[in-house]
Amino acid sequence: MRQLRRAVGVLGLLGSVLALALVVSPAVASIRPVELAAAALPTDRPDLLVAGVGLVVGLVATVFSRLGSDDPTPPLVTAPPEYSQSATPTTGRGFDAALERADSESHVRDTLRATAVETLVQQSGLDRQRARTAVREGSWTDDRLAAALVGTVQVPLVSRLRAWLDPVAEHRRRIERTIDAIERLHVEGGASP
Amino acid sequence: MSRTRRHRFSVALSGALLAASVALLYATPSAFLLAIVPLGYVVYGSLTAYPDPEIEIERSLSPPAATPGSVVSVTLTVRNGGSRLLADARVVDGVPEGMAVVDGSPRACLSIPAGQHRTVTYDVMATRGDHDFTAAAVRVRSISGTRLVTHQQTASGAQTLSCSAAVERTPIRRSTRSQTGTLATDSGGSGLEFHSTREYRSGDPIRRIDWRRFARTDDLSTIDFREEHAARLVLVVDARPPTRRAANPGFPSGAELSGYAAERAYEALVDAGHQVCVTALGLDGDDLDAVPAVDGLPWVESPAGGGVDAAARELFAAVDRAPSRPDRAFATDGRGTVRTDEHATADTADRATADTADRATADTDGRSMADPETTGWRLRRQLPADAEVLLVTPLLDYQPRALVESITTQGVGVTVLSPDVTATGRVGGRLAALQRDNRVRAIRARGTTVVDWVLAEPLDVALETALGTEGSS
Repeated sequence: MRQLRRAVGVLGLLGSVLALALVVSPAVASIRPVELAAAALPTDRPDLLVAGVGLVVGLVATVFSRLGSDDPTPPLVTAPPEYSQSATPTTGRGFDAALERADSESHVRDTLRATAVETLVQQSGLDRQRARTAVREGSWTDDRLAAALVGTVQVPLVSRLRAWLDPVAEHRRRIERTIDAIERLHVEGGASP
Repeated sequence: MSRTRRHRFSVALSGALLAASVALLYATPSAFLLAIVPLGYVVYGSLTAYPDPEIEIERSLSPPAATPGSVVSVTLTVRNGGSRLLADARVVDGVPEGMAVVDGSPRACLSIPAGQHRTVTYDVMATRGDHDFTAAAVRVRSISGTRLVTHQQTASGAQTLSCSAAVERTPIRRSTRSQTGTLATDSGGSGLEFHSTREYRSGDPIRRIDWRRFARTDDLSTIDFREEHAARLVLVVDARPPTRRAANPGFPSGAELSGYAAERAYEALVDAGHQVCVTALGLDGDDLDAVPAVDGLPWVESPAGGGVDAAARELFAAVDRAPSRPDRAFATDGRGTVRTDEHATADTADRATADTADRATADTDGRSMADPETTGWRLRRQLPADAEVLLVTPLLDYQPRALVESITTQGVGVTVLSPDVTATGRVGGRLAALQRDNRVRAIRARGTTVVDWVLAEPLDVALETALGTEGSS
């Protein structure tokens, strides 16, 4: 890249010297290569010539600046200092990883269902069998989407439409809605122990 | 120190050239006038000199010595010692590797008049160990922005963030009384301190009858005193692989916090003269040379039973080291390595925690600890007759709950101290928090005290609660 820049610089310098020579002594124009170049260019239309040359030079300059990766000011720090590069796994990483994988949908669903049942048992005071039934029938929450994810309730039409358009985002949305619903149970359970 | 130039005014330069060439081509001097304005920018950009920054940076920490899980505030004072204004100084502090910034930012863009100073403040989460700050990166630009000077500058002041379990004051001293070896309970019985009065029941000792009241009302009533249990405490630290998880990258892990909390509790109790035994779950036996292993559990006897303080310290140090190798999982009964694949451990741990009803599947999947019933039984066999158990665990899987149940059914009082290492940012963290909350509820429902230590609060408060209620179960 550096050599290319240098070559372009030399070319520009030669052009400038030639232009200066033409201005100082018009006899230079009778030199064979210069004469050929002058004949090839539309010298009778100077405005067109300037516009054309300007366009070509501008385009080349733009391309060079895009290609040029030799930014003279590299970033001050290579890695953002705010975030730790620690190797210790975070809590719930297994579940987060399962969300990313396509083949673990049933595992995610089972985990959420089990958590919902356990929450009903611990926070709302239901016995386990009734909690299981409530989760299966969807009577544990007002959120139909959450009820549908962990139970046998039918998924709302809008959600099915969304799932058809963007399955990944919709899957994520359903999971978040379910966790929201379980969190609401915790808040209610904590308020009236 | 490196110096760089930036071509900021190349657009102005091409504009000037265009205007000049048009002026030459058409012989119109007025076009030259047009070139003057962009040319002025170009000249301004190329004539400015490199800044010569004389910057002094001082770093201070508050508090200077931290405890695991606490937030330390770092303040950088950047002073312009030169005689000219620093129009644009960028400073990025060298945050120690592995530390996470929880509030504020360690980078700043400052404009500092000569002789004045500016401050940059940010908060980091302390994890155990000594963490060295690296040099701060400083970049100063000239006013035109075309000349840059970049250098690394070592800050004066604090260079290391030391985070240890060192205790300035022991939390229990205020809450305990003069006798040693006993802990006050919340239940009435025979003792010294008044607790309550109740109706007389036949068989109550005569000296506990409230005679004044009998004289006044003709009713017999009995005075209950605060019962005192002999305090033979067994500290059980949970450092099994499922606990080696942190709320966020760079935060202290559950095992680390459990070890720290247990060490603080140990110091407080020993200082107060209590007999404390220490054991840990999920440690590799090879690591502990000075700690005798009894029945597969590392076991440090109370001082009266011949235990050595150094052995307890080594045990805590081993718990502290455990999180740095989350890939090595050991069964407490010495069956050797159970799992080496981290993902599998994470998965099975989560699956195991999902439903306590599904013990059978969890048992076959998550063998990271020996069967809690067996561990509980082993623990029970080691426990002195009059012992109480303080279990320190982050409650990240179902096994501590099973362990508590198996111990309490054997008639031993248990208190659980649980550092909270769940996060609310990610979906997985939220789910883990919900599951942990369920476990806390389940343990409490069986009459066991669970003291929840939220990291934002000082450990002393949680410890005081945990040690104060010890023996009430």
